[in-house]
Order: sequence, then C-alpha cells, then structure tokens
Amino acid sequence: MMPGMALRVSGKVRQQSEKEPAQMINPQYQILADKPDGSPS
Amino acid sequence: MSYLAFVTHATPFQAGYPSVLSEEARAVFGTGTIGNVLFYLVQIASAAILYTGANTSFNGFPFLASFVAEDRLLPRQLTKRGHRLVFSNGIIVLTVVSVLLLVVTGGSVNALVPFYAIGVFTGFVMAGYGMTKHHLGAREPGWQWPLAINLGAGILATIVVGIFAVAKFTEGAWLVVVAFPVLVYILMRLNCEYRAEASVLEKLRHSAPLESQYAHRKVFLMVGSIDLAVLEALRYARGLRASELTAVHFMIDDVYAQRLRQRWEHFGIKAKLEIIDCPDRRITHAAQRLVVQALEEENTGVTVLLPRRSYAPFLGRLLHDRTADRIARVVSRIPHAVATIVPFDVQAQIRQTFPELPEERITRKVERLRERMAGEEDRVENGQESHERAPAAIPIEALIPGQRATVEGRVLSMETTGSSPRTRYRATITTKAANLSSSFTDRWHSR
Repeated sequence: MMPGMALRVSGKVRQQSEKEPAQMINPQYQILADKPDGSPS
Repeated sequence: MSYLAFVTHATPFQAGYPSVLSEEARAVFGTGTIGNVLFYLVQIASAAILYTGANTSFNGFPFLASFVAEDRLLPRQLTKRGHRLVFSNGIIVLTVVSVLLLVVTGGSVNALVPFYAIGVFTGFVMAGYGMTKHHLGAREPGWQWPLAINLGAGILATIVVGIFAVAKFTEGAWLVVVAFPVLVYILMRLNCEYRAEASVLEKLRHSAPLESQYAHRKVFLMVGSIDLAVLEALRYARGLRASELTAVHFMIDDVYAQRLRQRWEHFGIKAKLEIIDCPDRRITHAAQRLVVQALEEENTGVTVLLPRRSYAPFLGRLLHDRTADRIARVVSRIPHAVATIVPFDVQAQIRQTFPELPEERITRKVERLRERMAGEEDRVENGQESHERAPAAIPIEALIPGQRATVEGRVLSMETTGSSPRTRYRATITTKAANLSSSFTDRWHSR
C-alpha cells in the first residue's frame, strides 16, 4: 500500500470523538487503483 | 529532388528565398490553376513536415536531457516534471536556445544547416562507434557483420562531420566546433561536482549519529534589527525549550546598536540581548567564534537561529544581501552546532499592505493565470479517480461508529512504526469530506 492508491476497506468503525478521524478495527482492504497516478490495477 | 534540380536548372538565390524546392515545384507544376493548387500543396506539406520535425525535438530532447541529468551530466533541474507532467525546464531551455539561434542567424536556413548537419552527424558518429565498441565487447554470434556496418557508418559520418566543419567553418560551423568541446568539458566538471556532493552526503549518512542528547542546548538568535521577522524567530526559539536562549547582535555601528538596545527594552522583549563588538566587521567570523566558545562547555549543543526575510525572487537578490546563508554555512561546519534559518515572507506582507503597487498587480495577474491552469489540471486529476465504485460501498463521511462498514477512498498518507517483523502501518484514507485511519500489520496483505 502506498499513498495515492485507491482502496476499499472493510471493518468495524470506531470514533473516539467528533474531532478525531474515524478508525477502522481489524480492517481488510482491497486495492482498487494501485498506482499513485490513479490508473487501475 | 537532386534530379529535378538538375533538369530544371534551379539555382539557389543568394538571399535564400524563394527556396530551390519552391523553384522546382513551380517549374514542374506550371502557373495554371491546378499548378498553383499543387504548388501551394507542396509548400504546405513541406512546412508540415518541418513542423513535425521541429516538434520531435521538443518531444525528445526534454526526455533525453532528463536521462542525462539523472546520470549527473546535466543540471538536476532538467529532471523535474512541471504541473503538466512534462519536463518543463527542458522545453524552456530548448525554446530559449532555438529562439536565440533564430535571432542570431536572422532565421536563415543556410546559416542554420551547418548546426543541424554537424549535430545530426555527430550523433551518427557516436552511435556508430558506440555500437562498434559494444560488438567488440559482447562478441555475440555473427557479430562481424554488424560490426562492419556500424564501424563503416561511424567512419562515413566522421568524414561528413569533417567536411562540414572545414567547408562551413566560416559560416557558423566554427561555433559548433568550438562549442562542443567546451560544453563537453563543462558537463564533465558538472558531473564531478555532483559525484563529490553525493559521496560526501553518503559518507555523512553512515558516520553521523542518529540521535544526540545534550545536557545543555544553547540557542542563539541572530538579530540585525527588530522587526516582525525577528519576533517570529523569537517565538520559534522559545518553543525549542532551550536551556539558554540569547539574542545576539554583532555591533558594527555603535549608535545603531545603542538604538537597537533601546528598542529591545521599549518593546519589553524578555529574552536576553547580548551585543558583541565586531571591530573587523566580519560577522560570519564573529558568529563562528561565539559558537565555538559556547561549545567549550561539556555536553552542549548549539542552535543558531537566523531570521531570513524572503523577498521577491529576483529583485530581492539584487536589493538584499545573504548574510543569513553565509552564517549558516559557517556554523553548519562546526560539530554539535546547527544553523536554522527561520523564513519570514516579507513579500506576502508587502502584497497585503501595498496591493496597488504595479509589481504586485502584475504578480496577482500571473498568479490568477496559474490558478486557472492549475484548476484545469485538478479537473484532469479528479477524472483519474473515477474508478469503478461498488454499489454497496459508502463514502467515509457516512460511517456509523460501532458498525461494520465498507468504505472507499484514496490513501492520503502512511506511517511506518517499529522494525521488521513487527512493523505496523497506519494509513489515513481520505475522501473529499472526511478521513479514516486504519492500522495494518502487513502492507501487502489481502491483495
């Protein structure tokens, strides 16, 4: 996984407070586009 | 073409125009209606071929230059891609050189041909001899025949270059004959410089300690005058939690130093101000002495903060000196001492305070144009994100805590903590409205 990739992530959602970003517990992910320029895998 | 020139007795004009090609087309097609149409068709076709030929250089040269620059034989700026993902600097260099040649030669084809011919045939010479060397080294099956062809091509091309260099020496070829060796020498020197830089940086990477803990951290803030830039740097200095923070002014003019101290007291700045006499007016030496003295105390690290006022790129260079850079260079050579330049954007303040200055108006117009161009690129980039979306997937901003969900987004950043095999990766996934962070133990799993 590298910055720029498009992902689909599945898992249980946790959010400590409204100010913090949501977290995903035990995530499973699938790469949708694996190049930083967004081209499809 | 040569046969037609022979048959039609087309002779070149001294001025260069009309061209031999045009004379031949006129002689072959005549001056009737159809003849005129065909004549102009040949002219347009020739122009189109030349245009395509010229465009090839603009496509090829920036790429070639970037490869050569990656090998450290040309300035590194040529490896940078611009906003439009092309090697903008290479294109700009080629444009400037082309325009310069056109202006100098007055756009005369006769004057430009020697440049072109020598350039092209020198390429053939290098390719021919390069391939000859390759065949001699590799000795692949049946290598003798390709060797003979490449060596023959190299020798022929050398003869052509020689003829051009001699026959057209006074018509511009001298420039190429002189410029080539000079350019090659300059590029070799550039390569030596880049290699030296790289070897020094590599050496430091292996020898310098990764972490250093000092019992004392002394911070010196260099003060030339009291202004917003110094106050910003002072704010930053306080945040460093140094064991000792001292503002230092090197005195060159005692009246000025006196006034500076009065202003320091007047503004009620709580940091300690030390005024050091600098009779020889060599501020960099004085800074060096100060740092070395401070380091005499055991287990001490020194940070020198240098407020730098950043001005307009070209005008600023002309109107202001670069004392901060010089001090930083000297201090950074001393072990256990670090120089930090704290920039303050004076240009942005000028823009706010004096928006009607003619220079500022031009800058605003240029920036607006840039934004418009960037806007177009953003649209293109957004277009790239249109991967197929699963019907059940939802955007991050619609997540409900406590429930299982599937989201889609783009990886904004990745943090790596720990070392193998216990490395953990935290990815921040983003859409336009919200972010989501996820931790993984393996950055390649579940592909």
